[in-house]
Formats: sequence, C-alpha cells, structure tokens
Amino acid sequence: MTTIIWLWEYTHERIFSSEKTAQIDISARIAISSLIETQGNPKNWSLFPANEFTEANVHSIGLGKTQYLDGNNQWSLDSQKISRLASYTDTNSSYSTTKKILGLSNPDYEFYLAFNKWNGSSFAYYSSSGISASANSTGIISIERYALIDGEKAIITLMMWKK
Amino acid sequence: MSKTKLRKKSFILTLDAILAALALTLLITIVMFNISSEHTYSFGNYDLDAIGKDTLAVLEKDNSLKKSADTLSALPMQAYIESLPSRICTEISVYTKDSVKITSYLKTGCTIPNTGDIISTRRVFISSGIAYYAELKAWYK
Repeated sequence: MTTIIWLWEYTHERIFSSEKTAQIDISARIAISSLIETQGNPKNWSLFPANEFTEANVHSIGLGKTQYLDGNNQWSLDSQKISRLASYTDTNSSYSTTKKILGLSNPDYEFYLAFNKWNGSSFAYYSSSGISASANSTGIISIERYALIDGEKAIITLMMWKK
Repeated sequence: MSKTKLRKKSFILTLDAILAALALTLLITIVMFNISSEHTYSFGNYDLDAIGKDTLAVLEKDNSLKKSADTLSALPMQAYIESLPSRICTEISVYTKDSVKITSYLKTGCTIPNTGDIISTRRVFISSGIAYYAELKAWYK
C-alpha cells in the first residue's frame, strides 16, 4: 500500500510538472508570435511615455511594422519598437508590466528576449529585454524565431527561466 | 471437558496472496509509468513549421528568393540556410508556377531521411512579373 501511495504521488508530481512546463512553453510561443507577426495593439504603443505604458493602455506588444497578412512588411521588425521594449524592461515595475502584457505573468518564471542580427557571416548581438538567466537557472525554455531588422536577417530568442 | 477458545486474531499469508499482491503492485507501476510518460509534451513539428515559415518569409523579404529565381542559383540563400540551428536540417527548392524545379539547396551535413517527420512549407513570390514558389523541407538530424 505504501508503494502504491508513493507511486501515485510521484506520478501526480510528474504530470503536474509536465503540464506546468507545457503551459509556460505555450505562453512563450504565443508571446513571440505576437512580437514578430503583429505590430501590437495599439500599433503606436512604443510612442507612449513610460508612465502611460500600462496594461490599461497597451493591450498587446508587437514589433512588426505592419499587421500580419496586411501588406508587404510582415516579419519586418521596427528597430524603434525594439529599443523601446528594452527601455520598458529596465525597471522592476515596467518589467513586470511588460511581462503581464506579453502574457508571461507566471510569478515563478522570468523572461529574457534577445535580438541577434546577421552581420554578413554570423548572427551578432543587437538588443535585449528582460532579465537574463544565470548559469544556475533551471527550467529554461528557449524559443527561436526568425525575422528582419532594418532589412537584415535576425534571430529572436525568448527565454523563460525559473527564479 | 474444558473448552479453550482461541482469542488471538491473526491472518495467514499464503503464497498465492503474496504473488497476487506483487502482481498488483507491478501492474500499478507499469500503468502509472505509462501515464506519466504520455504527459511529456513535444513541440517538435510546431517548431519546424515555424522555422519554415520564418525562413521563407525572411528570404522573400530580403530578396534572396527573387535573386535565386533570376539567377537560377541557390547561392543567395545558402549562407542563411547554413546559419539555421545545427540540430535542424533543411532543403530549400525554388519552382516555377508549373512546378518545374529551377534550383535547390540542401544544408551541409544533411540527408533527406526515408522515415520520420519532414515538415514542408511553401511560399509564393513574384520576380520580374513571373510567379514562382519556394518550398522548404525541414526535419531534425
């Protein structure tokens, strides 16, 4: 009976952990899709001053120059929006707001968004937002997507990691 | 005549009962192991599909597809295809609207597998007023 109870607990824990990781993974995929395939809502969110960058004013964050399937610039990211996103994550409160708007509000996880641009022979660091993981961080989920920054190829990496 | 009553309670473990208990434990272990194994999520094909769409969109936007169609060469696409993650293999081909292959490039170190999942993505583009389509096949090494 003890063995059965232990097995039950162990299986329950494994399934619970797997479900939780999958939820974080799905949230991250949705967030990065929103970032590279939309321009956000409202589309001029990057022009808001820091004190107006709130969940009430900004419904979603997108870095695209035009809406997905609307014109010729989908997957073309706006470099001004990328730099504004970096500035919106440099304080605790704005980082927290950005995290919530991106739909990554799980309190156990932090996020880090990195932009690496093609320099002719390899992808080099361009910009980043959020809190980078340390060598001791666990539960790291990393998702890569590809787009254009200033007409040049770029890799966008979204990492989620446990506190 | 004196009557003695056995008042002590006890139970008897027979061999068949022990074997039945062991079999039950084994069965429950197997069932629970299988249930927990089924709950390992994989987004492998979703990732390949996303990389395929991203790659074709990027190569179209930076005019690499157009240059390949115009020059009948995969050279404009090669550097980018080689820069994709090492765990991912890809083959990109450009076709005319009549499905005639005009150029193709297979990432270095990759061979198209006979079995396993291959995700195929297509994107139509226009060069010099002529319609073409590019197809990207992606799979894991």
